[in-house]
Amino acid sequence: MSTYETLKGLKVKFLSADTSGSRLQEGELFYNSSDFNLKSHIATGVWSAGANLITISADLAGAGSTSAGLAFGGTPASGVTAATAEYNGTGWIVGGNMGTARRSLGGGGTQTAGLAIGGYVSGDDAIAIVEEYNGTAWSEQNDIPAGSWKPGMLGVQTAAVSMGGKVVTPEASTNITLEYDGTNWTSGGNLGTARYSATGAGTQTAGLAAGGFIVPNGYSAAVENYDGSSWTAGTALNTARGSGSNQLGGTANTSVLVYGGTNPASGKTESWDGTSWTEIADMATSTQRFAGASANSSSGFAAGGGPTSPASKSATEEFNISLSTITGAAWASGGNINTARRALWGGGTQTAGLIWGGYIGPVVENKTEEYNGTSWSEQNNLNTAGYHICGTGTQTAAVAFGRGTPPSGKTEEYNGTSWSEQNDMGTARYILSGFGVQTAAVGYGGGPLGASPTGVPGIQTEHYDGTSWTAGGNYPEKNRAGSACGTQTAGLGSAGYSPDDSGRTAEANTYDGSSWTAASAMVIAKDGTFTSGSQTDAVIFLGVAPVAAQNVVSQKYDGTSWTTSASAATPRGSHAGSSTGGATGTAYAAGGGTPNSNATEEFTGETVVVNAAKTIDFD
Amino acid sequence: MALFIYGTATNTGKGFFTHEDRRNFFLRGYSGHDGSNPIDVWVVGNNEKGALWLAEASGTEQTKAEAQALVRAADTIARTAWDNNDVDGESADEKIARIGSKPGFISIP
Repeated sequence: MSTYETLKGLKVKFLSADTSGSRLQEGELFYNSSDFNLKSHIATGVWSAGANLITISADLAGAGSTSAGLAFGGTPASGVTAATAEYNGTGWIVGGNMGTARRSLGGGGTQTAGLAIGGYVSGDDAIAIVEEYNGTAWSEQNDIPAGSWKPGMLGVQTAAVSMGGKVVTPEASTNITLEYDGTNWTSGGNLGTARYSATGAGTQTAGLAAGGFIVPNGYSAAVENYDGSSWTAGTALNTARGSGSNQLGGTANTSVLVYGGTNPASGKTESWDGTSWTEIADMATSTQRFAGASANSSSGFAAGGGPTSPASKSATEEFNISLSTITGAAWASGGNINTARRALWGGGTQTAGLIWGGYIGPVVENKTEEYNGTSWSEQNNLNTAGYHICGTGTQTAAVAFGRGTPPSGKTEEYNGTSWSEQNDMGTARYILSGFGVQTAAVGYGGGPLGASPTGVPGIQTEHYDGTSWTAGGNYPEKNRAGSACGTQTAGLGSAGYSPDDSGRTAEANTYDGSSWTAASAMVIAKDGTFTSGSQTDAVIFLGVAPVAAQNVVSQKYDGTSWTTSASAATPRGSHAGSSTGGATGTAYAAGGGTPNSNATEEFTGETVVVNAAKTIDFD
Repeated sequence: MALFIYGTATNTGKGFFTHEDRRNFFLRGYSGHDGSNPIDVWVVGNNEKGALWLAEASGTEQTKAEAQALVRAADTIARTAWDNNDVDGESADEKIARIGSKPGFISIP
């Protein structure tokens, strides 16, 4: 039976503006009556900056996809690591460590069913150890028959193929293929071209191996297809490459992405549609030796790596074919503050900021400065100088409380012009944390240190109503030099130094106006940080981490979990920042130390902008 | 090809480096000292955009060893200042809370 659609065809929408919302789909034609054009949206492929890896690493392995990725093993500045990191498309969190730290390994599978094989630890030989990941922990499995350096991988945890690799001594590429059924390894047909670090894609019975490195200095463009028993030559890559990386190219052999590699390092990217290889957008940074994984030719990620040994990096890039342009979060320089100092506090926004107090040693500061998004200007001083002072609010309605030293409960309000003394906090303290607004603020934690009884204020919470302070619910553990954001009835406290644990903490807690509840832990434990945003959209930045390279790494919270975000440029702690903004908005960081800094940096969260519709030209 | 370029350039504030710069190349700033004055030391990703940024920032390229020496000099000054910054009756914890832990020696990447 004929349908209306068969007889008349599809109607072209007649609209006064470009399509939007759920109607925004690639290929959907519409007529824009405002600019008199027939139009459609066309997806384009681009690389964009993703969140940095938790630690720098090269020669690591990757698995999964852009929205559920895995990176494991590798070499930081030196040695090898067992670390695993999980990616959700916006940031990295810590996964379970492998049983054997190693680099130059092969990796495959998914984020919840990963596979690590072979690699290198030290000495003259590659290792043969195999481990499986279940989304939480690694467990050792049957070894591959012989040690292998950077074998290519394809398939899933229960039906994988390892092809090629390198023998360390004497150095040689191999053509060995091994098949894995989730338990045992058996021999498959040999590759036609011996190589290591080939990109693998597809399945055990319909696989593909592309490119790779041939000992001693050869880059291969060879592509071979696997049918479950033997390899046959396929269409070669446009660019010979041996990225030295572990790269999964796709779950099917008809939709594959290959990127990076060559010498000097390249960002060239090619996609395979089952018929031909096509050069598409280059990576922003030419790189090798990264962890890469693609579910198909439409998306992929590259994490870590580096063009030279032994230097490693932490950058992540994402490839997407999309109707939108994704711009990763980043920090930029802002106007320098007038007085470099640390242990100050701040509030407001990126375009209407406020900082006060601090320490330049030996002078304790009472200075106040306002920011207009471009430059800082001196304002009327605090009545009482202090450092490790706290507070919250806006450029025209802020409250500052606590300060040192000696510890004080002094409270002052700022009205956009001057500070005025208010009622003191119930407990004198400094190095505390706070959030809220001038008429509904919260202060918790802090010192004195070593006083009797030791650290009592460390758990106490107090509420300010614009006039006086009253007791709130105790923080779950003693905390100082933490940071917080949100409102008096929806707050978020995190990080800091825990006297109970004698170290920096990654613990986070939410506040409902009367009690604190444990939230998921941050990725990196820190103190001396600053947090901007709300209980469901926060970014915590700078501060001091156990590993110096992590000091600049920002972390973001979406109300459920923490992931890493963009890195600031200048490492420092005990700085000031905006009280609002969040991971999806804008924030600033100003001052800090040590040494005392006058630097301001401005944070802009990730943005997703729909590309303009294309006009269909009939000429 | 080296992974990083090293240089000195004064952070002039707003616009010194942009969000776009940060997406285009690695950038990390450290406090240095040239024996007379503090100086900003920058580790810059070694690509065309990174090199161009250092040039446009009126930067002076350094070797890694030279850059590390400038940072080491600033670290030494900071460590000496920390040692000399005492308050009578103050505990070790209180000193750390007041001025932070004793600065370490930073190794630039």
